Amino acid sequence: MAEAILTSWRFDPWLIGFLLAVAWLYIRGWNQLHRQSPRRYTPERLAAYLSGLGALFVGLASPLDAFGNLLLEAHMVQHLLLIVVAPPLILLGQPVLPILRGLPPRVLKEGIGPFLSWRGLRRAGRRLTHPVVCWLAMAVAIVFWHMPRWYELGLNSPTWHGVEHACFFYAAILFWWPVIQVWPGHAQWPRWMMIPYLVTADIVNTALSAWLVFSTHVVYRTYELAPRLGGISALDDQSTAGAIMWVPGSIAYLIPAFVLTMQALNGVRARPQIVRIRPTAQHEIRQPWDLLRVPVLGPIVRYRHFRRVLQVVLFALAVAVAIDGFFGPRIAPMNLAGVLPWTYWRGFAVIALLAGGNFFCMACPFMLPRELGRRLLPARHRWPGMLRSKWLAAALLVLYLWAYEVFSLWSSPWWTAWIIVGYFTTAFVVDGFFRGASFCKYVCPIGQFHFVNALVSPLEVKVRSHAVCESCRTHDCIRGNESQRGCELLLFQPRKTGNFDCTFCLDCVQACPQDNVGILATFPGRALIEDRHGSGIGRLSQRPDAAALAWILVFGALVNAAAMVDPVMRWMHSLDAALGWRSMLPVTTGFYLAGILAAPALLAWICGALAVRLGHPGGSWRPLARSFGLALIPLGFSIWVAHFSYHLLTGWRSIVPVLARVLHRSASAVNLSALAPSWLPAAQILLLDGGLMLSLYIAWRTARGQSAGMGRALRMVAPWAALAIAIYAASLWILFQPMQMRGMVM
Amino acid sequence: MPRLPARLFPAGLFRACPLLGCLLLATSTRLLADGGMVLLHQESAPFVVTVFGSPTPLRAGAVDLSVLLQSSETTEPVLDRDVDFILTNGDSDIRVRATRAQAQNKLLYAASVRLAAGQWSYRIWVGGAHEPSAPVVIPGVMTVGAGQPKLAAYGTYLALPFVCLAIFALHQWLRSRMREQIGSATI
Repeated sequence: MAEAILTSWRFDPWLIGFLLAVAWLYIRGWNQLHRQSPRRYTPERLAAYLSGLGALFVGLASPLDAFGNLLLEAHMVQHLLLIVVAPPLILLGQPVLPILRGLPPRVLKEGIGPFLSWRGLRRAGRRLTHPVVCWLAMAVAIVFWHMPRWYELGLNSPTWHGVEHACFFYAAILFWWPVIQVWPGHAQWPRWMMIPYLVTADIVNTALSAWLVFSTHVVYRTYELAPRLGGISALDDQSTAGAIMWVPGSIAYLIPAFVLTMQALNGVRARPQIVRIRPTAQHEIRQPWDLLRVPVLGPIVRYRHFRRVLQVVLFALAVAVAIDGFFGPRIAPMNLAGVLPWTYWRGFAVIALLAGGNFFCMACPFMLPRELGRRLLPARHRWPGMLRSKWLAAALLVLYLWAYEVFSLWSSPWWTAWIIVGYFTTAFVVDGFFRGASFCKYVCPIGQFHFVNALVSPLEVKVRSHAVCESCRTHDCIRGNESQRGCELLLFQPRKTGNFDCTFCLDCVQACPQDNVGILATFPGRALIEDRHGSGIGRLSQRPDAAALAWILVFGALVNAAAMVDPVMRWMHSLDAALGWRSMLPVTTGFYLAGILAAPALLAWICGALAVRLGHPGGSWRPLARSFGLALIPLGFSIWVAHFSYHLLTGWRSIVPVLARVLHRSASAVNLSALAPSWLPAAQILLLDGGLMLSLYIAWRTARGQSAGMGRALRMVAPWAALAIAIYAASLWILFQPMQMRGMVM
Repeated sequence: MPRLPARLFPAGLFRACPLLGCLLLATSTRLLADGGMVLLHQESAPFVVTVFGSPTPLRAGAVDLSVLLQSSETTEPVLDRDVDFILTNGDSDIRVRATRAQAQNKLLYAASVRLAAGQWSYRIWVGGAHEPSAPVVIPGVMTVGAGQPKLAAYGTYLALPFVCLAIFALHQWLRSRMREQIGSATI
């Protein structure tokens, strides 16, 4: 039984994530402050802060929580941790300044700075931390939540239980604030006044404890109904809980009161804490995180033949998919061609884009036929000038999205195999006749999907130090050298912006003699926000082809997901029945063309015209449609990720029956039920939230860049923000509909 | 007291921390829920059985059911039995194994099951490999209310971007005000 009790922990990812984040920020800031002021930011402060977080974790996640609705005494210990242990320890760490210093300087200056210097907030903070308010907050929270009606509410509802704990914790933070005198607060009462402050708080605590100890009946009905553990009666449990609240609770109030009394008698005065945040410019300049400098992983990714190994593995898989597609069973869930590309590859590719960057192009299996084409065919022609844009690739992307639905590619291994063969052949022919990476840059629709969405990725191949590039005369990153070719997509590293057209081939990394190119962390969407002229791609907002790709991908995400939900499918079938056609082809084609081409064109025109009228008089709607279309990329990408990760997570065991068939084994013992994990809808909504927020932010920055005043920028961005919110709402509606489980064994 | 190095934590530690955090999060994504409202408490020799249901009140959708088995003689928790919930509402029959591994409180046997709204009859089947006697079956009834609308169920997540939008609007207003103040001070 003891083992069962001790293992009853709750590992809530949100709680753990929050505690890790605030601990990490504090340690980061404390490390800097300790170097500057070792007497003020002592290891004891660090220990107190981390112990406070530890007490908070124990209070919320330990067996105390699991047994809280069976034993009042366990619940009481939990509350004491949240009221008299965790808050004072956290505040003893003087957490405000270390946490602020732990933030990235830019976030501190531009993100938090305006709030910190807001007089209204300072005034509110001063009022909130006034001792009377702090004392009342604590007293009201404790008395209110111990009233039977509200206590029962917390016991019977996890949500209200959380609210109750939050009330206790934050009220206690307020209560201990004037006692500990946390910076940036100033003492609003004389120090000795904290003695009656603490003693009167103890009187409230004592009165409540005595009520529990001396009550002749069980106050909280839940404990009367609960099974009794260890032979303790409900009334004994209640008396013990009261005693716990009384004795340790009182000690927690009276010890600081005693210390303050001794200080007052000895004439010790608290030293005023004058601490200022140094200007951001004086913060040390930190290099962004670099994947290539991560121990073990970095050298592996940098290894000259790493990319080739990935390509060979994916090439072998592609060949296996094509062979199984042509010669295997026609049932998609039993065929490699029905499972690997449509469940796994798409899911992993978008997750890689979200978590890192364009790693699919790095491992692209079509590189091998391209290389073969170059060796066997002349490969000396220049790609035709009229095709040097993304229009051909955009048209192929539309064709691919249309074909996916019309030919039900997810359920046709045969068609899937043909697509792979077609891809191999095209890559072989294009790069066999034309120089450079013409196939990647101008033809490949999958590549365009990755180029556009990688603009939102958190990693970017870029130079580590521009100062090093200024002294470079050889420009090996683009020209190449004897042992390594330069960038085939003509991206000159010192002037490269974002991941557009970057295949993560790392040729520039290998070619740079100064080892000055890395895979660095960047703010997602930075290239879209800054909208600078980039080497090899120009300025994206001035390229109609790039904007068209963005619009197609955003609306393609919506249409592709909509086509698999029940209401849309039923509507398409009823429309087909009403029109009396024998094939779904015209309806599906109409739906796709309207959704991917007509709707974005019409909406771009409407929003552009409105934005011109409201905030850009005399301008043209076209440049606005280009700029603000690019701003929608994060939202579109979030829809793709939510959609493909759904298939990946619900069908992650789809490979089992296929492998069982290929390896001639039985899969009867494996449960293949395709139930979505319970946390998936919340994760999908969070993804969409992130996409919407980033899109709105980029749109706002775009508007600010194009107009002088705030009011005009607001009017200009309004139609585009409305469009983004409408797309977000549509994607939520799709998310909540029953979905067709394409290509999966049920 | 020995003198501490100026920089107590190496920079590499900070860079590794988010990775470590992600790893910890990845290993803790399984949320266990049990406890909640007492649905049944009765003695059925040789056990005292208490059945809990969550959420309170029970709603259509994912429902957590858990059982505490105690010895009738000693009231000590019994932790080595096989426990199944057998549920029926006339339309569908569900049998699900409740285990201690699925419970946060390891004295309980818990199972998560999707239930439609309506009246459900359930039986708790208690058996055990080491128990020579016949398994014990405890019957009960529970009412499952209508499910929460999805918009309400995910309200927090849906409100998030709009809350952030409001904070951002305030931030931009404060920034523009700061700029105006700096501008007027310069003039």
